[in-house]
Amino acid sequence: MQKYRPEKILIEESVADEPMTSRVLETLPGIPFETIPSTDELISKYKRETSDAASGITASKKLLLLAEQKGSFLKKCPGQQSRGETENVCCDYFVINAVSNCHMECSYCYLQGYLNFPYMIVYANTGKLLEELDTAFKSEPEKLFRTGTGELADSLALDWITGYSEILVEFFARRENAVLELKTKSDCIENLPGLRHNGKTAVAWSLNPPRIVKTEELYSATLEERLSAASVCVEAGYPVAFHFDPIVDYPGWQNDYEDVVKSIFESVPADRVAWISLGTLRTTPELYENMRKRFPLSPLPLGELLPSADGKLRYFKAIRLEMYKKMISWIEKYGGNVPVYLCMERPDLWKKVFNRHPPEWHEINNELVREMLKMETVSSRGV
Amino acid sequence: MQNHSGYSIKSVPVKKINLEDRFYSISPFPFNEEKLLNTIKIAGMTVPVLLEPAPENLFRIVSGFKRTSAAVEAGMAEIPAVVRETGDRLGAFWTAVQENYGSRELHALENAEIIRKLKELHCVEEKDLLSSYLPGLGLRGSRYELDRFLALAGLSELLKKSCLLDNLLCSTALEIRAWPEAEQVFFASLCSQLQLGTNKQKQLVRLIEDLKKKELASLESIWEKSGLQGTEPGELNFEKIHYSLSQMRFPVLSSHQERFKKLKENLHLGQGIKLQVPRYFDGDSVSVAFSAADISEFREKSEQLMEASGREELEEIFKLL
Repeated sequence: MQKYRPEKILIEESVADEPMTSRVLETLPGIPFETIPSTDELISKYKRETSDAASGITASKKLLLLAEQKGSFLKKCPGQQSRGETENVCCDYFVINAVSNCHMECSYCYLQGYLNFPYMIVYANTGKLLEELDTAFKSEPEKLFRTGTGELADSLALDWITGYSEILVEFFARRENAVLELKTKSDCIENLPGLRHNGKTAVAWSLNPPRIVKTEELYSATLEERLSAASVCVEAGYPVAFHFDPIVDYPGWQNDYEDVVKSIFESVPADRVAWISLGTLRTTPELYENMRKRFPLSPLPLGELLPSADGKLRYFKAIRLEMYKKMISWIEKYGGNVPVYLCMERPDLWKKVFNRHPPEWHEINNELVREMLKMETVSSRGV
Repeated sequence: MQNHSGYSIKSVPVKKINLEDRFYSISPFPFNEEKLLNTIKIAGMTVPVLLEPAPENLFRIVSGFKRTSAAVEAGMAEIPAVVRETGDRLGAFWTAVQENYGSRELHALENAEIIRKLKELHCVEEKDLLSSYLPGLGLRGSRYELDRFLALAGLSELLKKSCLLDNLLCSTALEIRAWPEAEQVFFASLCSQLQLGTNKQKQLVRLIEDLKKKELASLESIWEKSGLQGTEPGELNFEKIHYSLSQMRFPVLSSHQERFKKLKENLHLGQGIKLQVPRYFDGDSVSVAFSAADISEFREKSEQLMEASGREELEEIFKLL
């Protein structure tokens, strides 16, 4: 994969003395840097000088901003936000926003329609992060928190610069009621094998067939590199997980996706796979327009995407149903009883896919966490 | 007569005015001159045009292109004019802009022409365009707006004419500017013929764009494939075009819709009973609605529904969800 190299580093004054800032500057010698009083002026300058949301994104990523997270690091997954009377089935996930934005260029990436300030941002006040997580987990000791850093960023793509995994993996290793998921399209796992993870961190890869990786997931690791990295993590005792999201409809998708499912279980043993999630291509109307502008040659917007009740565009229901059923049949064929869930789907579709009513959100979450922790009891690797 | 600001009011022979020199014109080309011609024929020219001296003892129009053309057309030999001799070309241009802006609503293509001329002919820097000139035209001083108007100024004459003289919207023209000229002409005439508004133009452009990419085909071949080619001009309307193109663009949805239509027909539900599936079949229930004027009509319709509930067609309809 192509590693990120910024053209300039901007440091918000309030985090200039943070250990994270020193680490980033040491890891990226030779990159010019500048301390700025705050991000406010930067935001207004961006808005003033950017023609439209689509055109500003690529250029903005060349700037790495080390900033203070002034809001909450820990948030509910955006998937939990329902709209109108529509409520998608959700997995009760929590996201940690330690990094914002991603240098990879996936044509379908929701960040291009979501972030209104698209610089690469690393939040450097890690002390506040750990304090906040500790308070949240202790305040609800009965709740099982499944959290991940891969919502507003790729969890590992900048890890060689930030070393965030070292901070988080060891923090979660000591938690009783929380697990961490590091979700990535990279193969940046160098920091992981030596860490004490205690089975509380699952390393997860977002997967797609090689032809989609090549044409729609620019600068990311190849499928082979991702699966090879997964194999290394399994060797280091980590549970692993996989996300087929988005599953893309194109002529011949069936053979390609079956091959990917097959290759997962040729690379890692099924009993080390904590979960697999499935979600077909979906976009907000804003993202759809940005996709068309930024990736005019991508065939993805030409799929049978139609407005759903939650305002997003999704493949026509019959297409989604076929995709989910086939994916599940291949997962069962090659991997047996690996836990599978759907991401941001309606209850009626969930019912048709699994032939049962969807469980309550917390039940889905608890089942996934329990399955993951059960794995650790049969394997003490990496402890 | 000359005042202290360097202005003089004269009666200028029209043959002394260089009508070809459109250096200060804010319109890409002459348009909408008929109304003015009628007014001038009746009342003569009541507002003087603004001129500046030009080489060879001629005058260049600063403001009043339409009025001058109309005066020539009306057969006037001389017209009243304010002659400005300051030599400040940017100032003269901006005066012309303000005069027009103050008296009528400018077309988007005129705003585009003004911005292009400010940038290219008067070398106004972008930061000044953003901070002063765009707001001076009542536009948002953003880079997006600037880029959009410069793109409009760069449209072909064909598209500009379709926007100014026909029904083509500027936003549509920008969308179709990369199409082959024959396709642009076809689409512009379709918009004009069917008097399509903003949303309808937008919907058709999007469908055609997608089908051109998806099918790797020309507009002509898409038209033919969709079955629209043989349609009599009188029978062609937006709904028909939209339906035919959507069938091609969304084949799986269309086959579901067709199947639902046939199954519903075969159920032979009586008049007044409405059986509906969710939009795009995105839901899990079929809805039935009917109204009855009295109890016997209510019973009659209920019985029809009971009879339908045992039919295979209804079962098939549920399977479509």
